[in-house]
Amino acid sequence: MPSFASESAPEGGRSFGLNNDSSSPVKPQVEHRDTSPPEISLIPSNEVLKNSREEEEEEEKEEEKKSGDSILLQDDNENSAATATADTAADADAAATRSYKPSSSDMLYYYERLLPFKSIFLWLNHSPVPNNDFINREFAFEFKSGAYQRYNSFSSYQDFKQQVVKSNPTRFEIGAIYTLPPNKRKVLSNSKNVLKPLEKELVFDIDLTDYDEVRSCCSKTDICEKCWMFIDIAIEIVESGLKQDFGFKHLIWIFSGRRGIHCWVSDKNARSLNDPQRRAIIEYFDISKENVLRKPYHPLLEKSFNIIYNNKKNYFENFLKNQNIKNDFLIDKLKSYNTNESQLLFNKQSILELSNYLESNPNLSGFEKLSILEKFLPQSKSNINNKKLLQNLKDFKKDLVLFLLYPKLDLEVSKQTHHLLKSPFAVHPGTGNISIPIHIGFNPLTSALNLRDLINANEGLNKDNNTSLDLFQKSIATFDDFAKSIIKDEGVKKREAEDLLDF
Amino acid sequence: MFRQSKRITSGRKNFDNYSAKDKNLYVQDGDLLSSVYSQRLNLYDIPPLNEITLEEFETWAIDRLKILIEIESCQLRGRNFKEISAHLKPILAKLLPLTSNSKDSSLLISERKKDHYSHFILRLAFCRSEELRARFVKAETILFKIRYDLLSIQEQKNFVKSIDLPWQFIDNDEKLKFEKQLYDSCYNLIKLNLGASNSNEEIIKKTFENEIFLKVPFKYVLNLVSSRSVFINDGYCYVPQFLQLNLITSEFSQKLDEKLILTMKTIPRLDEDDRLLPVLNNLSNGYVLDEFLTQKGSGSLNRDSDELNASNLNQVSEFMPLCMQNLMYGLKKHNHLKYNGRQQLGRFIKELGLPLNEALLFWKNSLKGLNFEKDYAYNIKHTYGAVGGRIKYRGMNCTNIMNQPKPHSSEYHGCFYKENSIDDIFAKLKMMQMTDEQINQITDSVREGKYQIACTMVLESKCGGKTMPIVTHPNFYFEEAYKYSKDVSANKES
Ligand code: SF4
Ligand SMILES: [Zn+2]
Repeated sequence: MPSFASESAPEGGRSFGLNNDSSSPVKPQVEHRDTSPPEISLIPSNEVLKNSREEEEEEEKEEEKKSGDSILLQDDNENSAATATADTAADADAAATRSYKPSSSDMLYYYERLLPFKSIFLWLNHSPVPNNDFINREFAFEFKSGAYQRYNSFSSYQDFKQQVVKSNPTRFEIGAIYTLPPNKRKVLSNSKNVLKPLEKELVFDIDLTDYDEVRSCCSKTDICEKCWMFIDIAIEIVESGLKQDFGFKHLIWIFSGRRGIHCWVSDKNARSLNDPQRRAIIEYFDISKENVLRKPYHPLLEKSFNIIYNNKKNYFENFLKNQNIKNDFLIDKLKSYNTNESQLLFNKQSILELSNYLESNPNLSGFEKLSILEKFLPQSKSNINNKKLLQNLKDFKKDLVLFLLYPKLDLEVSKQTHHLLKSPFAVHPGTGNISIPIHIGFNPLTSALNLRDLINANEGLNKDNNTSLDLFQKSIATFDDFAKSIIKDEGVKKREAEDLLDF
Repeated sequence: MFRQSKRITSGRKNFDNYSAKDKNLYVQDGDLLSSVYSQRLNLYDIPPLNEITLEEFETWAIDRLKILIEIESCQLRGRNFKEISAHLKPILAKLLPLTSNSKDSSLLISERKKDHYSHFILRLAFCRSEELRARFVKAETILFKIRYDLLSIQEQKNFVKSIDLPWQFIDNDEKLKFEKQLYDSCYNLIKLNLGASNSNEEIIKKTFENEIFLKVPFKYVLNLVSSRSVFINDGYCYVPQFLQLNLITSEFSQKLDEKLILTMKTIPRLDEDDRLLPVLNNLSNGYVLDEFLTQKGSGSLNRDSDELNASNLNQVSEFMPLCMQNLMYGLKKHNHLKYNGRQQLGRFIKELGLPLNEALLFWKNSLKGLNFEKDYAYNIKHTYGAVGGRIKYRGMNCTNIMNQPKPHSSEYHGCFYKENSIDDIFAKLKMMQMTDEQINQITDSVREGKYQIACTMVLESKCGGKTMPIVTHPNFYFEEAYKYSKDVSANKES
């Protein structure tokens, strides 16, 4: 990353060059710093984590309650929303950033005429002919009242559509494939045959609210293009890990509709993972419980570091430009880094001096903060110690890059087979955004697909061109391709597959 | 009564979901060495199918149980693997020896058979709750490791060859291809393995160059995955060979856990008076390090052996905690107690120090109108270790009592405070002449689910308001209450 590394640091500090010498090919012979902590735990930590997902749900409910009045005034809202579209047609960006709470009639319209039930069916059924993979799949409905109805299941995509239309939920979620059709569990289950989750896609949930301690552009429910970069990084790293490390092939990223994304891994051997296996995978990815990252980096972290720091997208440089490194975060990481004896770095005194300095210079940029650290290193008389301190500082900065930008995953969602997750193409009840497949480069402010726009476009009310309809159709095509690639891989008979291709 | 030579036939179907026909596992003793028992070490993949006597059933299980208890207590004392291993070696040699292949074959068979059967019997006893399963798996895995350690290098090699794990050695090309990743990911493992003192970069590099790697599907080594300890590519973990024992043991414990759950599901509902049930219950309940002993030396030791007997037990019932008073009441009212109640009260009485003949007399007088000898005597004798295994079962502690199945309407077992309504508890305490203020405090604790605190408050009021440690064992309660009343009356006399 020459451009960045050569940028001169203020006050003649060192450049922030964390790379291994890139001129010599990296070989095992490369000198390994002898700073790694000697203990390696082979035992996974069983620490119970807070269920941040539940918190999010609650938060959303609260928001809904707060704006409860507007639900009563639904019609007004709709009108104003419609005019807003017309007014700002010239400024597509502004139109797309608008979010609204879809009315029940909008939802019904969407379910009756637009939502691609068949695509979802094919994706979940792994074959064109309904089988247990679909019939025994749990769906949950969430209603405006906040009621949450679990254990729905459907015999075909027609049945699926019919019941969704009939119930008209504000959103629906997808759970596991069970031993029985979940809606018949009371009739069919007996001592030999109980309702048990068998399979589900391996899922990941990444949400910008989990980045609050590192993003300074927004907080809580707000998002902007600047912080969406975190999501791009997460996509790149998690996808590469899932594909290269675990050998999964079929995964798709879905916009959650507000400030996060979901990843569905649909390979047969991902669906059949049991809970301990899911836990092991998610813990493999998760670094949130580590204070010091083991050196040399595990290949996953080395790869991630390169994505964040060395990649042509200049993620880290952009981060420093657009965000700051929060003082609390920095001090916190320094403190926990220091708890480990062999990682001798800052002492109490120097941390105190540093934090005073940071406090009295509130305008420091992230870049400046990184370059002044060296000045606060405790001085030692021994040259060897000083050298070691410098090396440790370099290691710390490298870790810091990861602590700042490495994906922050919602662990609970991924750990259990029976956990439910919002379906692709469902509508976010708080924003009206549709959960469409996305990938790196998505902009939630300008390229989200909003139900209001889609309905208007479908009704020919849009003055602008039909971008919403196009986007919707493209999204469905992307999703269908995804479903077909799974079906192809599961070895469905050729003829069946051909029938399928021309649906 | 029951004949010692009677064979267990029901045991066969219990062991696992194997069928003898499928796998043709029913083997003549003479062929065992070339098949099931070809290795000293057993992974217990195949359940035993040949018949054994009930006597063997129990004594073998108890010998193994003693070893597991020993391992568990070593662990509680924080000993490391080397220390545990050294401590266990002589005990193993005595209780569960496994001689190496060079000795005479009938000895080998009987040793390996005992090892094999005792493992499967304990599976039956320990499959029934998650807590028991976890402890069993943990102790058995350490036992396995200790024994692996005792094998000669050649035996270890043969053993590894004999087990069927989906691992595969990678060739040099693959090693070169992933050289940097492999080196980075096992750098720390090598360093750890060499010991901090004699590991510098040179040696680590050398070791790495000489190391052979195995490729294992990641599902088999979840602990290496979640701790990010090995390189993972395309669904495979690249594990250095020196971790092979880790692989085997993690496979061992994972499989064992799965099998235990399977056993639990397939185990038929045993009849209340099936001869196996008391054995199994006592095996797993006896496997609790006794808090009573640690809370207070056994009070019953300071008592004359005939101070408590079948006839005065009713008179001292006022010193018993309410769970036991409740059982005494139920027993009097119906001249009968259901199985769990008899167990709870029976072991309490035994812990009081009542000798076997007095206990038998007590029960015979209390359980009226039933065929006592036929229906109950065996269980009681068994609790005393007078028949079958010779292990001395301890009284249940509060946790054991509370963890029993919920009592039905005609049952009286369980913790009094946990199983009764506030109204009933209130009425009982009122009858005991406690003040409203005391009662309020006690029922408050019950409402918060702090049953043992409630029980302790009652004990404190019985002991003239003196502060007591939290009750964790009904016999502790009794000893304290009993002693207090004796001291008081002694003071009065003097
Ligand atoms: S706390 Fe223990 S001794 Fe007291 S009643 Fe409950 S089980 Fe019995
Ligand atoms: Zn932002």
